[in-house]
Amino acid sequence: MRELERYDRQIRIMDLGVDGQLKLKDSRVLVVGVGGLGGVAAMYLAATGVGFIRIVDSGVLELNNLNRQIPYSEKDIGRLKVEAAAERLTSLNSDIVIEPIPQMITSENIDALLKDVDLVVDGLDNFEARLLVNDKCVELGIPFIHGAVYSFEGRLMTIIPGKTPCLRCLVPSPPLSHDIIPVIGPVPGVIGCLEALEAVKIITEMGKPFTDKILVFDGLSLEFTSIPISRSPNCPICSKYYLRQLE
Amino acid sequence: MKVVVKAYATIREAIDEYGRIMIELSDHATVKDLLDTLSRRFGERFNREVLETDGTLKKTVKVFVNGRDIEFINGLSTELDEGDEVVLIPPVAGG
Repeated sequence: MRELERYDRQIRIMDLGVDGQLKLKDSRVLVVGVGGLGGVAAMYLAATGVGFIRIVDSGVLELNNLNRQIPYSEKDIGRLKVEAAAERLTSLNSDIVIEPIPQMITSENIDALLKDVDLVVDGLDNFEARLLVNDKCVELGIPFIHGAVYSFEGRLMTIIPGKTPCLRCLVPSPPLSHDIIPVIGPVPGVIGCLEALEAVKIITEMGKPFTDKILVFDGLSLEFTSIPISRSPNCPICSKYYLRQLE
Repeated sequence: MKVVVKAYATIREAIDEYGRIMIELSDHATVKDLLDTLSRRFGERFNREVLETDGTLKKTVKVFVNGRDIEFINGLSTELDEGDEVVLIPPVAGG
């Protein structure tokens, strides 16, 4: 009864209903990185009722995180982000399971972190880790929702392995990164929300995932531009798995 | 002829505050000609964001002409026409 009351406003959505809510409850999502993007995405996934959320981040909260990382408070400075985020998410929704893992994602632990999850949400802040996650998700057939931000801009692209272009089709190798990336607070909020929305759509099989294109959000003009992306014939990752699929 | 160039993120910062400019080119100019023109006009900052040290286009920078990736047209030799919109997109990494 309590869950029917909690999710009442979304259960009322035509085509979602109790069946859709149960799909959310049965789903398992990995949010990799709980900063500006992942923190917001995790909050909405928890509020929406995703039954199991694994959050992975090795970072400790700093004052300069608080312009955009809204799950946290000043009292959390100095704490592990996953520990503070798990508390916040559990206080938002105690009917779901949060699994905090205070690790940086690497080629050594990625198999364990991706174990038994239905999809992965990108809350990372560098392309080395993003491409590692992309490659493994394509290999294992796990949908990956990519998001990124810079200044007043945001990006989003959903990858369905075996069906759509992957992140490496767009970014073949990690670009040289700026040491500190400038970001205005609300922009990761916009993109993190959209990542959570994509996850909910995939889990409930509603609508159409944002694949085969990249969303470019320009906060200065408030324009959302959708740019078509094709599978790169030279992509070393998805060409390998597409070929396997054709065999 | 004139083409519109729209740039994002670090390339936008290198060319113009609003990231959208009109560039005059000779007829039958290619994407390579356009990049050369932008390089001359905006100098080192543009080059750093768009070009490798040998002057070739960075693999991580995507170029679209009227919404089509030049990789699937004719690469840097893709010819431009009056009024074409060329979009330059570098990856962004923040999170």
